[in-house]
This record gives sequence, C-alpha cells and structure tokens, in this order.
Amino acid sequence: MQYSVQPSVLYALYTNTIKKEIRSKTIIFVFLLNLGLIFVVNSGIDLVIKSVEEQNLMNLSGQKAAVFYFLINIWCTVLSVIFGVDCIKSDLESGVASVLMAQPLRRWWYLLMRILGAATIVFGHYLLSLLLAGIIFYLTDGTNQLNLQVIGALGATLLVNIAVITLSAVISLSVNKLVAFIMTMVACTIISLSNQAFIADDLMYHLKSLGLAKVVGLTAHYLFPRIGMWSTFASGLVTGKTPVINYMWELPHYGVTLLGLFCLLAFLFSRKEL
Amino acid sequence: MLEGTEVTAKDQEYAIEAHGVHKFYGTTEALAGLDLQVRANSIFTLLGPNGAGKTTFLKTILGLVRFQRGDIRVFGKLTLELESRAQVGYLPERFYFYPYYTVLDTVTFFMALNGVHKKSSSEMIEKTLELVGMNALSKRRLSTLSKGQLQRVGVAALLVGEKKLLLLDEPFSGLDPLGTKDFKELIHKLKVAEGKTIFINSHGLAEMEKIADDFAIIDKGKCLAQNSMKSLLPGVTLEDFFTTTIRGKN
Repeated sequence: MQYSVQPSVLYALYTNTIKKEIRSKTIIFVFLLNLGLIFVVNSGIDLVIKSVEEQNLMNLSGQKAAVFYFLINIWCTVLSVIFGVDCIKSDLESGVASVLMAQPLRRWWYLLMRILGAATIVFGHYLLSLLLAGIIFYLTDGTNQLNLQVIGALGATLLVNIAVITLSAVISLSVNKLVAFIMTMVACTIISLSNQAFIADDLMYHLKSLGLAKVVGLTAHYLFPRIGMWSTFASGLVTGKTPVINYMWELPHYGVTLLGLFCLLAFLFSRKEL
Repeated sequence: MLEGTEVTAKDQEYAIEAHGVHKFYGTTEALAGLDLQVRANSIFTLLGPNGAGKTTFLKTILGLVRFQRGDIRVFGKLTLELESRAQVGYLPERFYFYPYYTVLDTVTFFMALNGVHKKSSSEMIEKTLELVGMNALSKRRLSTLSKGQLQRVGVAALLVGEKKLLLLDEPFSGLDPLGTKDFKELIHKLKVAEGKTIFINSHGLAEMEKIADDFAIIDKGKCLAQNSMKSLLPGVTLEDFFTTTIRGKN
C-alpha cells in the first residue's frame, strides 16, 4: 500500500460523508422544510407584489426572481453552517472519529472529504431549490427563470458554501454544536457586512483612521474568504446587476484564505486526542 | 524520538516495543516511562486497575493520543508513521459505526479505507465474515445487532484491512457467557489460523488466564510486571499474582 494520496480511499471517505448525511434525519427534515418554504415564500411574494401594485406604488413583478434567489441563498448559507458543524463534530461525539483515525489515513484526507461531502449535500439542496423555484415560476407566471446567469451563479455559490462549511467545522472543534452554529452565523454576518463595507476602497485608505470595529471588520475582510462579496456576485448574476470584480485579486484571495482556514482546521484536529 | 526507523531482524521479533513512554494530561502523568514488549504472533494482555493507563497506552500505539517522551514501535516502525498504522487494527470497547450501515457495507468501507483492491474484495469479505461467524447476517443493519455481533463486525473490519496486530480494548465487556466463549474461540483462531498478534486490554483476569500467552501489569502508568503465562508458579492464579503485584506495590 502506498501512502501518497490514494483516490480510492478519498472516494470511500467522500461517499461515506454523503451517505452519512443522506441517512441522517436532519436532511429529511431540511428537505421538507425547504419544500414548504419555497411554496410559502412564493405565495408570500405574490401577495406583496399584488398589494403594492394595486396601490400603484411601483411595478415589482420583475423583482420576484431576485427576492426568491436572495432567500434561497440565505437558506443555503444556513444549511452550510448546519452541515459544516455536523460533518466532523458528529464523528467526534459518536466515537467514529477514533475508529476512522486508527486506519492508515492522513487526518487531512478525512477533513477534506468531510468538507467536500458536506458541500455536495448543500449544493444538491441548492440545485433542488432552484429547480423547484423554476418550476413554480413556470407554472404560476409562465416565465422561465432558469437561464445561463443562474447556472453561472452556481459556481460563486459553491465557493461561498465551501468557505462557510470550513469555517463551521473549525469552530465546531472547540465548542458544542449549538454554540458553534450561533458563533458561525455571527462570524458569517460580520464577514459579509465587512465585505460590503470595505470592498470598494483599498487597504491604505481604511488604515488612515482605525477603531476597534474597523480592525475587526478589516480582519474579517482580508483574512477570511469573502463570502459576502461572492454571495452578492452570485445574486447579481441572477438579477442582472453583477458587481465589478477584480478576478486576478479575488480568486487568489479566496484560494489563499480558504487554504489558511483549512490549515487551521487541520492543525486544531491534529491536536485533538481521540 | 522520531529518528532511527530502520527495521532490523531483532525488531521483527516484537509486534510492539515501547520504551520510556511518558504521557501527561495537564499535570497528571498517565504514562510514567512505560516499557513493554509484545512478541509477534502471541496473545498478550495488558492488565491493570481502572485509570492505570491501559487505554491511553493503546491509543498511543494508534497515534490517537500523543505522548511527550519515549518511543513506540510496531513491527519495527515508529507509531507516528502511517506504515505502522497500516499493520494495526483497533477494536474499541464498544464498536460504534453508523447504525444504518449493513454488516456488508461496513466491512466493504473498511476494506476500501485500507486500500485493498476491489478485485479480491468479494471473496475476501465472504471469507472474513465466515471466519467471524457473520456471513448469515451480512445484510443486517448494525442497529439491529447485539453487542457480541457488533464486536464481530468490528473484528471483520480489522481483518479485511489485512492487519497483523489487533488491539482489543475490553473486548469481553458487556458480553454474555456464550458471547464471551465464542469471542475467546475467535481470538484463538485469529492467532493460530491467521497468524495475528493480539493485544488485549482487560479486567477479566480469569478469561485472560485461559487465552493469553503473555501478560503485563501496569498501574499509574508504570509497568510493574511482564511475564509469560507459563511462568506463573503451580497453584498461583493470575488473579493472585495481579493482587500481590498491585497491593505489594501500594
């Protein structure tokens, strides 16, 4: 047996992650909730649009897809946190982690496959939500919302999901699941708000006057993957208001910060006694 | 601690060699310079009272717990190397795996994790399940199995990984008398027919006296005695020797 990366071993771990999540009761609950939410949100948006248009305030019919997409995005971020917190923590709590780590595996293989497996599950949910939304739009309004831009937005959303799952996994190593969920949601909110606040100007400009909140915001903006910016980018693709992005800077920034987050996860996990 | 990984002929005689292993949990010394040798192709039992450091030592062999000083070699390889872990299988006191997995799924998964190629897999799985007496239950989910059956699945998961050294942590705990008897027979079969080295952490002195070749007694992280079962004087049971050793030390 060779001890370099083995695709068959990685594949076994990856499919095990998906199987583990698919068989858990969480995913069934989440799927049903998702289905219900899509129908409720669809009816709710129709009601708001109708009442606003009846009063001749403005024409909102073109905004329905944007609102829908925004809600699906938020829902998928919440799912990323749920599955990110669970993907490693549940193994640690049940004792499966010690059985798995007693095998000839590098710990980072296990971590990587758990994250990619969780990302696949969330991404599957995301696709399903979009598909359901598309079908509902088609049946109720007769419009086809599943266009090329929506498909382009999938890539950006996947980047967000992977980053959120990794962040959740890092936080879950130190605290219990509920606290990890809350802490990750707070962290994601801070990162997203910081991205909105600091994306337009360069670092030197922001360094001119520093306060505590600004230091926290700049740290979140520069040292973590820019989930807020990539979410806005994905939403923009769907609504036709794509923000201008410097790909030559943003893509490497995403890669380096995500790698940093993963290395932190691997370091913390290596310190764990199983 | 990490140097000198060359395998010599002498190293090969021992499945496990531990020298001066120290492990601290904060200021508490769980292993206090533990020295131990386990002969290859033997059944070895590590005995000691609760909190003696048995499980900690077992987990250091697997790299699940880090130790501060000393070194542990498995068939001549330092335990931090992945090659050493490839030869070691671990069965915890309560084997737990995802309850919705079937016996067959579980064994297949562990086979894949150990990089065993699919070509030989179905034949090997069948042979292994036959050996541990689980062939008839291969389609059953783990959630429907008894403790004894789960232990057998755990052993099957070790065997398909082609492990040479099996570490069993309190394998008889929670088993009924029939389950205990069957499991003892399985352990004996693994040594004789499969050529495995079996390391057992146990409190069951009477059980161990019947099946083990060698034993060691540890307390407070130190090895107090290490002997062959045959070296016990006539009329002296393992329980007598254990009690004298622990009480004598205290």
